[in-house]
Amino acid sequence: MPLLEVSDLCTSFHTRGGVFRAVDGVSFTLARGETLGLVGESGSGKSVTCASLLRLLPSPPARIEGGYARFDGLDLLRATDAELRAVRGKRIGMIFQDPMTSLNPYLRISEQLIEPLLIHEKISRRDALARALAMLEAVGINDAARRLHAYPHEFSGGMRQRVMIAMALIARPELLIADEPTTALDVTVQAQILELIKKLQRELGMAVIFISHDLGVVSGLCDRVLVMYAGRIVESTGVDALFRAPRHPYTRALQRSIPALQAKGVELYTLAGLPPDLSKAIPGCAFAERCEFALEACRAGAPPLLAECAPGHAHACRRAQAGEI
Amino acid sequence: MSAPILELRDVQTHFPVESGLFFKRRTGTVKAVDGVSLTLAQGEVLGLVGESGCGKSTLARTIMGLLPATGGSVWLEGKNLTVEAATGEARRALQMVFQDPFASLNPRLSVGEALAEPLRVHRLRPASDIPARVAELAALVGIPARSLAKYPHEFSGGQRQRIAIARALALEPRVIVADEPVSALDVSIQAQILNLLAKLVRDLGLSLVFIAHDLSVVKHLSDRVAVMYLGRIVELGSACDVIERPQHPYTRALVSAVPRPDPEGERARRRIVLAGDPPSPLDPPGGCPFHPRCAHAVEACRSVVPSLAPCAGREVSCLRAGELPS
Repeated sequence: MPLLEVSDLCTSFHTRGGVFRAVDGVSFTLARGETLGLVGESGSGKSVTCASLLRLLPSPPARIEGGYARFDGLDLLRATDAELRAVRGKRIGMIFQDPMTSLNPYLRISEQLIEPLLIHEKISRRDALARALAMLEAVGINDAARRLHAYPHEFSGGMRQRVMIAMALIARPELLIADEPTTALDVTVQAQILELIKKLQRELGMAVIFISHDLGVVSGLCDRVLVMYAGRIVESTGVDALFRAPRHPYTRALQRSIPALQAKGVELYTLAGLPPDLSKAIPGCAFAERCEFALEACRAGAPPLLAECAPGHAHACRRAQAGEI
Repeated sequence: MSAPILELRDVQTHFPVESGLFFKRRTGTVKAVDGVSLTLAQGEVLGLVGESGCGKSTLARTIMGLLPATGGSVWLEGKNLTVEAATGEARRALQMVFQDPFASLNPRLSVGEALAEPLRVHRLRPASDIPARVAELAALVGIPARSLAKYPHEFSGGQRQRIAIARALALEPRVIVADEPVSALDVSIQAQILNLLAKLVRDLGLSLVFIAHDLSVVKHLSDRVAVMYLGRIVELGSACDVIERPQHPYTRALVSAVPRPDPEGERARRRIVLAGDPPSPLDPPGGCPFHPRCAHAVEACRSVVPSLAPCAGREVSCLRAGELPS
């Protein structure tokens, strides 16, 4: 049985400007110990997918319209508050993108680190502090004993992100959801954090959902990758096939627009236009408007479904499925 | 080689650190830029890379005159910009594009007005020619003429960055300083802006100082690259040399830290993971500023400040350059 099974997740935002279908029928599974990458541009629904799993979106305006998300048998989308509280921070840890705003500036690091332990485990304050200290050392904070009782403003951005990781991992979760945990950081610090996540994953055997827009980061860390566009998964594949044999035109376009994968100085491929307005119904394939291969048929009918083209490799492009591309 | 269009000679930008509420005392100095010498040739793209706090944005602002240089001088086409007499007229040939196109455009000016403003202020053309020039600028960066009456909030991030570039081009500059112009953008939009910058350099013969922290982006666009660490240049050479065969230990760590979109390569790769954060520029280490984090540091690195010296076809500021294993 997979650790997490998400099926047909739909989340929309009901605003005065209309109903925005941010996540529209997302399904995937995640095995224990597996690392799943979630890539796509801003607004493609990656963060909303993960926030929906933990029910962290304010409602209104957000509303989970349908689907289920079974985490070890428990449907997270229908769980009671008490059931959710027992999972959040204990069995599922989350790291947010911005370390500057995700820590409480009024509380010492030590208080914030031991909070999940005091809530979820029968543990004395003293033992909890000892675990917090060990965790800070594990995430590579120098002089952790002195820093344990410092306030967030006394830490640099990279150190705050490490504190966030320590907080997410202190209760030894089975699943870690990391939402762009290194985007705000410099590359040398990013390298430290990625090494740390890999090391802890090996030690704790946890599964990871890693959200990123950086295909480089994903290539080094993930086993499998979901590519999202306009609230839907357009391609789902192992990380090697994603780079060697991408099938969906959107994934291909992304790769041709990255300088790292192109010869120096050549004109980069650019996508014309903008992602579609999610408040309007999109007939057919959401990517058709910007796709160089799109036919009239692509812009009509039901949205194309994910279909397997090789074992473990699925995509949602009718023309590629028909072998026309 | 012809004379450089832009030249920095030993530029320093130091900030005083003061303490005390009523009687301010100077208690230290932040040496944000500490002795940078560079040249930029006509039509050349110089990439400037380094991590946050290394002084690359401060250097860009010092070149532009937005921050006063506390030492050294900046020369544009043979004129010294760091003397007081060098005002608007001398600086006109030097323009800047900022990182955040959401903050760098005035929300109360329509795009047409924003593009016309510099033309009006500098009286480069008779007022009757301004609308034609504005349309020309918009066409140059790919903004449709019918959008000129719109306001910045009606555009996406990529389009806003195009408008910011058009505004920088309004006064027919010879040199553009672009401070992280693509960092805030999605990859597909980033590609559009990179193509646009490459086209402008090619077609208009512009010179470009291009600041970015993404090494693959810098390599793609730049002819030469300068790597900064704690206010100094540690390596300077052709983009391919510096990024594919780095010599300075810091450049090596930086290059090795960049994740590459190549899963097999990533698994096989040995990464140089630097310990700790960059030291505070308020209290930089003595000797070579990189020595506390350097795996190759020897006793001399603690006391001797290295300077840029030729090594393997580029310039490297490291006492042990040349004797390090490749």
